[in-house]
Amino acid sequence: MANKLFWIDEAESIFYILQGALARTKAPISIVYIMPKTKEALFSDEQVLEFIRKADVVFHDTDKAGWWGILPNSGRKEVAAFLKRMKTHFNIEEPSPYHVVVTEVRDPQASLIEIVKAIKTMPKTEETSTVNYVDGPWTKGSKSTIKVSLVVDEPIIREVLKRSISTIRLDHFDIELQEFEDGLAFESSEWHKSAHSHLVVLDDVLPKKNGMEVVHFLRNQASSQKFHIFMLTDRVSEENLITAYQMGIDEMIHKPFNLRLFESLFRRTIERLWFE
Amino acid sequence: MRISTTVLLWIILTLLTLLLIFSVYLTILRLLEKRRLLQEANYVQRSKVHWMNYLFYNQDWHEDMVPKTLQEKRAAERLLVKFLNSVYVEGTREKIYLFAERYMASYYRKMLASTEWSHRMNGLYRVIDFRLIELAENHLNKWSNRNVRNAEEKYYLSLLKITVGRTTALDLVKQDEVEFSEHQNRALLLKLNQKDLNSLIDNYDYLPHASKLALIDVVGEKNYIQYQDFFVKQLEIEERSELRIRMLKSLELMGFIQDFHPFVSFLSSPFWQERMLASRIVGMFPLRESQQYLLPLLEDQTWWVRSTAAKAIAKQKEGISVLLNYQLKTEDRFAKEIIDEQLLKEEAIAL
Repeated sequence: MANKLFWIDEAESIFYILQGALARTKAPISIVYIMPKTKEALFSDEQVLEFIRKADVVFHDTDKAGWWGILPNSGRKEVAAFLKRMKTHFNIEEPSPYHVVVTEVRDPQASLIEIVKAIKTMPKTEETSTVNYVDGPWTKGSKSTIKVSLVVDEPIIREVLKRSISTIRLDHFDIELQEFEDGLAFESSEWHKSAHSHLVVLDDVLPKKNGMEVVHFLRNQASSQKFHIFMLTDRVSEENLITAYQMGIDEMIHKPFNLRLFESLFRRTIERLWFE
Repeated sequence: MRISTTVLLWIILTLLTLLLIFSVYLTILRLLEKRRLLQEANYVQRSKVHWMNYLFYNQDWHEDMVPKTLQEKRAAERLLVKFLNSVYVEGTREKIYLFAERYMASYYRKMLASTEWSHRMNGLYRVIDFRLIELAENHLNKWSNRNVRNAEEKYYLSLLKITVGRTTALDLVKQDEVEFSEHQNRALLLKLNQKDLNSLIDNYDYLPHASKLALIDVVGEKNYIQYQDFFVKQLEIEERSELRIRMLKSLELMGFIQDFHPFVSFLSSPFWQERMLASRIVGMFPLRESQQYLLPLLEDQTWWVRSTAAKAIAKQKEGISVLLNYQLKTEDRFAKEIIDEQLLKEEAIAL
C-alpha cells in the first residue's frame, strides 16, 4: 500500500479491491477507529505512518477526530495484537486516552463509507472498555460452500457417512455432497473441478481406480491445496502411514473407526477453514 | 467309416436336446439367483435406515430388522459384518452380538453341523465375529473328540476356544501340538499384551519355529524397541539364516538402533540378504562413522546390496559428493553404474 494517510474516498477504492479476496481467503477485514479523548492525544500523520504496517491502510477521519485503519486478513486476535503493538509503540499508559472501535467485515459487497457512517452514528454507550467491538450487517458474510466427495465402494458405508455428514451443523459453511462408487467415476466427473474447498473421503481399495491413484491424481491438479483428503484403510503398518502422508493424504482413518470420531475430525477440518 | 444321414441327424438332435436342457437348467438357476438377490436387496432396502438408527443414533429396534427367510439372514449377516469391520459408535458391537444371538443362532447352528467344510468354516467365522458363546461351547463340545485334519479349521477352532475362554492366545503360540502358519501365529501375537510378549521373549528358545518368525516380525512392526538388545544378542548365537534375516529386518524396521557395531560382521555375510539389511542399519548412522563400511558394499556382487548401500549414502548430508568422489576413485564397473543409477534417482526426486 502507498505510504500515506488516505482520504475516505481513496480508502474506499482500496477497500473494494481487498474485498475481492474475502470469498477466497475467508479471512475478514477489520476496521479500526482510533479516536483520541483529548487534543493532546491526537497523533500526527507522520506518527501514524511510522507505526502502521505496509499491508494495512490508514485514512483520515472525516471530522478529523482520530484516524481509521483497514487491516486485511485480520480477525479479533490480529486486531488485539495490533492494539498491543500500538500501546507499546506510543508508550500509552492506562487509563488509555483513546476510544477504539473495531468491526469485522465479511460481506464482499459492503461499502466502507457506509460502514464508517454507521459506526459514527452508533449511539454511544456507557463505555466500560476502551475497546468496543461492534457488529453490523457487514459482519455476516454469506455462507461458503464446501464440496464433499464420498468415494467408497460399499453402498451401506457410503450411506452411513452421508447421513453422518448431514447431521453435522456448521455455522459458516454449506455442504454439497456427492457419492462415487469407484475412483474412476470420481476422476472422470466434473465435480472436483471448481475453486471450492473440497473434502474427499475415500477408501484405499476401490474398483477400477484405487484410493492411492486418486490421491496422486488430486495432488497433481492445479490448486491441489483446496483438497483435504481422508483415507479409510484397514492397513495399519507404519510403512503404509508414511507412504500415505508422503503421497499427500491429510488424515488416515483406520477401519473399523468410531463414527463420532469421524464427525469430530470432519467438523474440525471444515472449521479450520473459517478465519476467527 | 461312413455315417448314414439318419444317424447323423439323431446325433445332432440328441446334442441339441442336451443343449436345450442345459440352457433351461441355467435359466432356472439364474432366475432363482435373481430372486434370491432381489429378496436380499429388499431386506437391505427395508431395514438399512432402521439399522443405522439403531446402531448409530440410539433409536429403538424395529421389526423390519428381523430377517425371516434364509436370503434375509444372509443379507443381514453381510450387513452386520460390514458394520463390524468398518464403523461403530459406543455400544454398536454389543447390539450386533445380541441381535445375532437372538435371531441368527439357529442359522449358524445349521452351518456348523453341515458336512460341507466350507459351510462349517463360514459358520465358524461368524460365530467368532458375533461372539456367539453358547453356540461356540456346543460346537467345541461336539468336536472335542473328532480328529480335525484341515489346518484352517484347526486354527479357527483354536480361536473359538479363545472366544469362550478355554485357552489364551499366549498358550496357543507356545504350544506345538497344533502347527499354525506364520500368518496365523502373527494374528495370535497381535492379540497379546505387553506382559504376554515379555513371557514369550523369556521363553523364546522353546517356541516353535513359525512362532519365532511371527514374534520377530511383530516386534519389529510394532517398534518394540525394548526388545532390541535381546535380538542383537540372539543374532550372535542364532544358527539359522532365516531367523537371522528376520531379526535384521525387524531391527531395521524399529528405526532406532543404539549402536551399529554389532552389525558390522553381517556386512561380509555369505548371505546377500544379511549384507543388505545390515547395510540399511549401518546406513542409519552419520557418514563420518558409516562411510568406511558402506563404500566397499558399492562393489558387492549382488545388485540389491550395492543399491541399498548407494541409497543409504545418498540420503545423508554430503552423501552425493561422497558417491561422486568414490566413482572417480574406483575401478569397479558395477560400483560406477550403481552410483550413476542412484544419482539419476536423486535428480528425479529433486525435480
